Amino acid sequence: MAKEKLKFAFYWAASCGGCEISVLDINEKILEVVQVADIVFWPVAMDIKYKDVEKMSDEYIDVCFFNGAIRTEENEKLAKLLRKKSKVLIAYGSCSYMGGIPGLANVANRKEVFEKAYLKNISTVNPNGVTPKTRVKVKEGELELPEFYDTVKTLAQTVDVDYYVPGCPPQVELTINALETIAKGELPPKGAVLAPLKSVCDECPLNPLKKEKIQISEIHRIYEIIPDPNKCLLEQGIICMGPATRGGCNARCIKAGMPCTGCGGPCPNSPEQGAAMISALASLLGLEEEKEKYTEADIEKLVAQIKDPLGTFYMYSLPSSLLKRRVMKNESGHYKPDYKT
Amino acid sequence: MKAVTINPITRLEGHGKITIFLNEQGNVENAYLQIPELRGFERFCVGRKAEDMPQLTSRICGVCPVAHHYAGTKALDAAFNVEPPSAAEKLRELMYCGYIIYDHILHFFYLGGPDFIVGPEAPREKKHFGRN
Repeated sequence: MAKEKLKFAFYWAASCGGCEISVLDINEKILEVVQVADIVFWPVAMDIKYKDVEKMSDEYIDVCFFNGAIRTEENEKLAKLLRKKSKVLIAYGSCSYMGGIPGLANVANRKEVFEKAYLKNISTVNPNGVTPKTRVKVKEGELELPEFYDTVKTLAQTVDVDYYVPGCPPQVELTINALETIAKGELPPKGAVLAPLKSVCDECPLNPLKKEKIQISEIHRIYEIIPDPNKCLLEQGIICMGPATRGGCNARCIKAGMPCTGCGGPCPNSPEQGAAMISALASLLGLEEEKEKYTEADIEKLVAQIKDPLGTFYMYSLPSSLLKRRVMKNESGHYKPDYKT
Repeated sequence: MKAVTINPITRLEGHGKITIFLNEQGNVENAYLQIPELRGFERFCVGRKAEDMPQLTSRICGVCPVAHHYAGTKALDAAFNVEPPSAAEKLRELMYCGYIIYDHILHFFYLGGPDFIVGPEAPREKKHFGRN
């Protein structure tokens, strides 16, 4: 007798849609997926509406792949709804796992984002200074928009999450692995990140660490030098997030001549990705073992070579990091954060 | 006035919501398209490294990341006041041609295509890949 088919759902919150496309990038394997599972909700590919999801019984969905960060009231509402309707909830991709690139907006708040996007941007034409309101009266009635929060959150900061699939977007191999693990009913204990335990360096063909200890004295931006394609980028003074980033991508960016920017998230044993990278960099610069060689001024000079440390070390992980966001006064003039510390 | 809401709009990238107001005769009085999303690239790209822009802005849309990547790259050419060598231009064009093929396949099989194959009147359960 044929096994009863599983029910899958895919949803995007504050995302770009790349995670959805990464599911389609498994190509003809999608046909195997629909052999074992019915997809019951998937806005990018199907016409099922929010009200249809509301009508589903609790835990109707076996596995929900949730991508995108929690940026608005609607994102939060759907996270809570899909949590209730799903047996297993997977944070799929860097945004729902760590906040992702949209999480960089935690350098600002709603007021600053609205000002820049709707009023002060160089290409913005908005003579009446209109910004989005949660409710607006039109002559036929009233229209509503979800509230835009001050702080971007991860899915796990919003609801209980069962598993995580890292990547921006997750690599095809990771997606296939996750789907096969589910189909076989071999999911690991709750809370697992469905990716190898290795770092990007462990997968990188340029990794020199096995040969000899590397040491650098200068940091370059990617356009300042033409790197030797056979040498570790860090060894050449280019900041590469490989040592602090979980693998599963087979060092794809580095193989294309670009440094890792950290989309795979932290390694299993050092959950603060940015701090792990800063620590790795300190030892590469010899600040740990040979610190007597350096004066305070030398160190300052070295550190000043790192442009935009926040964007470099936390490109994908600001909301899930210890930093979470830039501390700012809220609209009532207080520093009270809108997230749990 | 009676309102019909379509939420979310499906089979395209991005979030959208349509509210249609009907008059007493049941005819459309007015319709509104709302975009209930914003991530704030305009703000958070400020302060980031210029050379990171192609990578950051390609996350504006994961369905057309190559277009955004290309636009970011061209903006960098202008910012650095440089002209790429011919080989680089050709590589970019090749990348873009590949992307056009990829995007059309995506649109045909997953996004717009089902409307044309089963028609706009077909039940919505049938209007997606894999059921026809």
